[in-house]
Amino acid sequence: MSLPSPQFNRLGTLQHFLTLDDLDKETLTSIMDAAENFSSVGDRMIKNVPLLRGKTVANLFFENSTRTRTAFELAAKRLSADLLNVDLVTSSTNKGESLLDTLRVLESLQCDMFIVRHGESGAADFIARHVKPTINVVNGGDGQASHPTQGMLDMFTIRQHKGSFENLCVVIIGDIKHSRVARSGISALNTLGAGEVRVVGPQTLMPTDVESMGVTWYSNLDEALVGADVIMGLRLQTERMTGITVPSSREFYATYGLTQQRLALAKPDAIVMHPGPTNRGVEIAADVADGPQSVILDQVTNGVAIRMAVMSIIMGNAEPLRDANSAGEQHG
Amino acid sequence: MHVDTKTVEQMLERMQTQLAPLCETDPDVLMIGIKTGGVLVGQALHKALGIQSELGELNISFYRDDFSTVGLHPVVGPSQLPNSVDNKHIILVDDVLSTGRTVRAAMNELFDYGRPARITLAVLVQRSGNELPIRADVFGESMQLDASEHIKLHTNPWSIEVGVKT
Amino acid sequence: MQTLQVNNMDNAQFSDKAFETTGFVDLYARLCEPGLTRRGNIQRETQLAKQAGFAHIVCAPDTLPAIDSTATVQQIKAIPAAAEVHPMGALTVALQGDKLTELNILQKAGCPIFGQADKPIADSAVLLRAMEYAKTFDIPISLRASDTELTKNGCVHDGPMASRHGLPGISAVAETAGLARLLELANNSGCQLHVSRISCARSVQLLREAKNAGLNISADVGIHHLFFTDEQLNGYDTRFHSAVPFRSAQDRDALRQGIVDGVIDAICSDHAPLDSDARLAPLPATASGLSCYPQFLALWLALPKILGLSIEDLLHTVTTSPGKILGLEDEYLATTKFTIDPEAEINIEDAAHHNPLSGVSNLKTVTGEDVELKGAAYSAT
Repeated sequence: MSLPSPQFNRLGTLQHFLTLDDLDKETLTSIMDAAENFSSVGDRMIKNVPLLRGKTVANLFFENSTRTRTAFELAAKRLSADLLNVDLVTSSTNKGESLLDTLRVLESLQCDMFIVRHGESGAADFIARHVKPTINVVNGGDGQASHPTQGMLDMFTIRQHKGSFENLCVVIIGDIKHSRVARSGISALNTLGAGEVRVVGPQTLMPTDVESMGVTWYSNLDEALVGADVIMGLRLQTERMTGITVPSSREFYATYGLTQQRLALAKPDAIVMHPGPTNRGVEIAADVADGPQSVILDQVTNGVAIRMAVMSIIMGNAEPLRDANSAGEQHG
Repeated sequence: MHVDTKTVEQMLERMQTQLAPLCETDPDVLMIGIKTGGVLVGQALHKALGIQSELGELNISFYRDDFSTVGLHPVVGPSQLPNSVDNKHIILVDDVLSTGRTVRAAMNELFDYGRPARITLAVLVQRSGNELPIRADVFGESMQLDASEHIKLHTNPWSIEVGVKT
Repeated sequence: MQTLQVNNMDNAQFSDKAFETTGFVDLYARLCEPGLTRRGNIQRETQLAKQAGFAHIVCAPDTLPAIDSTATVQQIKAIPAAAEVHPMGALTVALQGDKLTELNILQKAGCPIFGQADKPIADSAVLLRAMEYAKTFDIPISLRASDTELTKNGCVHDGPMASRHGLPGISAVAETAGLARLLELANNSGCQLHVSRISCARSVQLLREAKNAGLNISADVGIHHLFFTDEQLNGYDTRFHSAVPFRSAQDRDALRQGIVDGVIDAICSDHAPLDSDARLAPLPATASGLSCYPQFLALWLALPKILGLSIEDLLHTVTTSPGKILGLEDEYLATTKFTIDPEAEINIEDAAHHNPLSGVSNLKTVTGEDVELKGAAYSAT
């Protein structure tokens, strides 16, 4: 009744990586398993593997982003792919060229993969439905909808520290409404069977019918933190805050800021996560961000391995390749 | 065809006999098994030869030359090399040498870890079907097989199964 | 240009369920002329309308330029059409919501009713003055209930679907807050207010209360809103991007009940054809609107069964009720006659306008509800 997901190809394998919403537990786990293998590559003398040699990956960022773009760039380079950074924030798309025209131009330049960051929700979905079938699309964040690689690196980091997701109590604090990071995280946590997902913040930062997303809403942070295994902060978009959704950053910190004192309410081995960049003194106290329970820098490191895993999995599933010889030769 | 426990153990002994002198001349030798069959063979030889350094494990998924036709292979765990491979004599172990493509991938990966002094290739079975100029220095058995026949290694107890894949 | 064959009575074979009726009256459609002929044109849209049984069509004022001058009214009226076109005059100049148009002059030129299309007047002082002025001359006005600020940036109903997809929502309160304001100002000014294209349960409730209190108001609903919900937009299906958002199943059911109760007087098409590249963007960036005429009659003919009414019970929603709102006498309406055969097989072929029912023969594949799409109108004139 709704449109079929463009994520899967005819054979039912992942052709694009757009959202975590329709991926099963097995798929999410296999991505994390692959990432675990890729993470050792960064420890070696030569930090790349020849997997995507000769492939061209284009970073299409219609929105500014340093962290995500850099992580994708590094991942592509560690896989030996050629990388094209297209700065679309200041280019022809601002001169009235349609999104589709931009895509057609890049297709004609014979790129194999598009990494897309776009301000509109559903942009990655739209692009995946309209590119040539030889191209793989990875969603690098679209509007308020999805940020699936961030969601996966968060899950990977949780698994590294907690082993499994069963019985885990995960608390997500802040602007859930406008956060694609929260949406992807909540979706993956539910699929992986997390014990409980709590979201914390004022109603102005909660999506309509937030509990329909499989979470419990708390307006009080102290109450939400009791029994928490994982605490995820979200970046408060200060430009969205100007007196409308939250009176001030000072008020937000006083009500929802993660301080040492509040952290003590969670389980003693609770980990603290944040997608970055952190607003210290707004969402999180500096001593918590830098403290022993913080795994914020692990998230950054894991971001490269997760993206290497995602890029190689979907590139390996590219339609024409699978078509030619799905069985492959015995590799003796 | 089925090769039983006793025969496989004889093959391992044969390899051990050939490898022993190498280990004596170079006590710093490094044994590395290719995942997953090569690690099993490696474990047996590593123990029997009493090699000091830990057994290394190589996952060649990221170096295979069939990525563009079959995609990313199932994940078997990351490569784990105990110490630097620079200037080391490496005994590279696999269960079966057939086309030579696995060994090519393994050597490419090893060179991304450093510059070994020498690599000796040791396999349990060297079978027909070579596609690259790669031959084992040490092998337990040599077999002439049809292209359609495949070899599968079992442990506990050791056995080798040869048959046509269906 | 595509020419359409209007169903001819002469060699038609009717089933025994066929019946005769006066031509239908549509209170809201976009005919795209002048200025938007990339999307559609008066000749084509009125022919499609005639195939659906319409004889009178109110053309929305959001043309280019807006219908705020005699010249534009005359231009529209001069174009040959298959049904009588009644231009809805813009209530304010260029629909900007600050200066009143020349209502009396425009009425004489041929505008039976005035409105703002999808651009509500944000300034309550302007709105009250407009109502008072219209009341002075007993000119009816047709407005969509919508709070400007609460609607801003939204593209779909603010509910679980929007939350899941991260889509900026338009909450039901954007409509009901706007409606409460309209009702209060209408009550104060005493003007004849028609509320155009309501979409939610609470609006039905507010209208029911206002009507019970004796307010001189009427209301309509777009026919798609009696069938579609926001679930149809799952997976970012841009074809269901409607300016008046499709809401929850509960809202849809309340709208249906509103028809049964008579709280909602009329059913309009809200026909809005789009150009071929209108949907080629991420959903929030696409143009809104659904082409409706190709399926209007089939959907309308499915309503009696769904609502537990007879066709006769429902005929007023597309004939006398909207006619009365426009000030068209029943005798005048009776001058056009159609024979409608509810059993006639039809093919909806309208993919070029992103019509989500193009190629659909039963709504089961779209909404899950078993609604067969058939029925055709045959013109006697």
